[in-house]
Amino acid sequence: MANVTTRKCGCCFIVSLSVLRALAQAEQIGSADRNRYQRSYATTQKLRLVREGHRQASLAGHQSGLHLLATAVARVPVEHVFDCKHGTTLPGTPVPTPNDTAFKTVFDTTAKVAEFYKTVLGRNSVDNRGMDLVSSLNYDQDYQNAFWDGQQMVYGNGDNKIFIDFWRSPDVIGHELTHGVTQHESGLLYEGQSGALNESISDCFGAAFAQWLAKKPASDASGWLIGAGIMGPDAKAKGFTCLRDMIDPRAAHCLSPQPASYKDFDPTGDVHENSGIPNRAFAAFAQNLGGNTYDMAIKVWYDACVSGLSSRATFVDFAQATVAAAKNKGSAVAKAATDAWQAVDLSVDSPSAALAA
Amino acid sequence: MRVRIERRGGLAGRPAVGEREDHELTGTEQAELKELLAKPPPPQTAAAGADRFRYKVTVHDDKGTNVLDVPEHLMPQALAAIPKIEL
Repeated sequence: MANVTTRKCGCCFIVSLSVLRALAQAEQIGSADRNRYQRSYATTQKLRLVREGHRQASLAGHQSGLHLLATAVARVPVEHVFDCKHGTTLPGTPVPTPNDTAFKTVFDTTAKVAEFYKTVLGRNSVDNRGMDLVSSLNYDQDYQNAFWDGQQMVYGNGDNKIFIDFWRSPDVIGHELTHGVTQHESGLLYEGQSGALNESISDCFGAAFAQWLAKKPASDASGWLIGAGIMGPDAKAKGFTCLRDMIDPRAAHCLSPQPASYKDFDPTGDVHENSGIPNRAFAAFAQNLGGNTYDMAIKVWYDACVSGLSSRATFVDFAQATVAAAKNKGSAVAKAATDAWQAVDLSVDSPSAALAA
Repeated sequence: MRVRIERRGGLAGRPAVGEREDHELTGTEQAELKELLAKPPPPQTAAAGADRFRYKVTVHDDKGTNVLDVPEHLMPQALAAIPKIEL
């Protein structure tokens, strides 16, 4: 008799997600049981994310064949939306059918970000391997924030005074997802210059995504405002129209004004402050080129992001990576990039001079 | 005793701050503060991901000044609600 070896595949759950989802919604079972199934669904979903992380870590050890595997599998990202119901447990209760305006908007806009990554950048989801996209809404009470927790997006509702729902700005959704992209590429450390670059890259891709979505050219100043859609009535009454303005980071209409020159880099500043410097360089680059940000400028920035950038990259390192990427697109694009960095008083050609600025 | 709580970070990046005298703290806030001060200092590592808040809790009393840097995931909920953005 032949030996039969049984193996656990490590990739299957005994009850499928679709069954758990159906049970979580079933009217004919009691609410207590339904709640248990909802919790099971949420936990299973989370475990899938963890498992996916392990899978990727494992794949990373086989880099030589990775591109072949990615091409062969070409996994399509699936979206999952959850409701935290004003608690802080993630991911929250699954929302299998996002009909409500908030859930539908997040679902649809997140799908658009994935489409933007694919059609504009040639990237398959956050990890470039078709990672599922998970969003949780209604996080905490009056929570004045949205964040990327390392695995998923989380959106608060604001206090309805200074901020309204954080999912209302498409650039914010693009911003948070792009933190995932950075995590899977350079892993820029979230402090100092690398942290400010991490933040800036999220603003750049968030703005480029919102411009692509609205079909706005780079010359349209409204396309460079970050968080314009989440400003609450009290903030608007005080004249604040956005969190940040990438063209004019110091502007009085910004709730969070930023430095606009490398000379004003503050080593004690928060990563969201110093990001104004590379933000302005990117906006200047796109406007120097003319046309649409999503036709050229964001592609150059993306090439720099995936060029093997160090997790401790400085502004000068990143500037040099962008100019190198721009050179691949032609001399005019390279000049536009160099000029853009010079506009924020950062010299790409001479790192020592730039550091002394 | 006086406690000052500053919040930094978050997507907005706009700092928020709040101050309370001892007698102005609610029972929950007092309990959370007591527990926070009794624990070993929180690790300096930030919460995972990006755009998370970070809190600086400064307590002044007759023994001196105690400053704690607390990442969002370790910050007690009632104390976290004290800082407000000033427009």
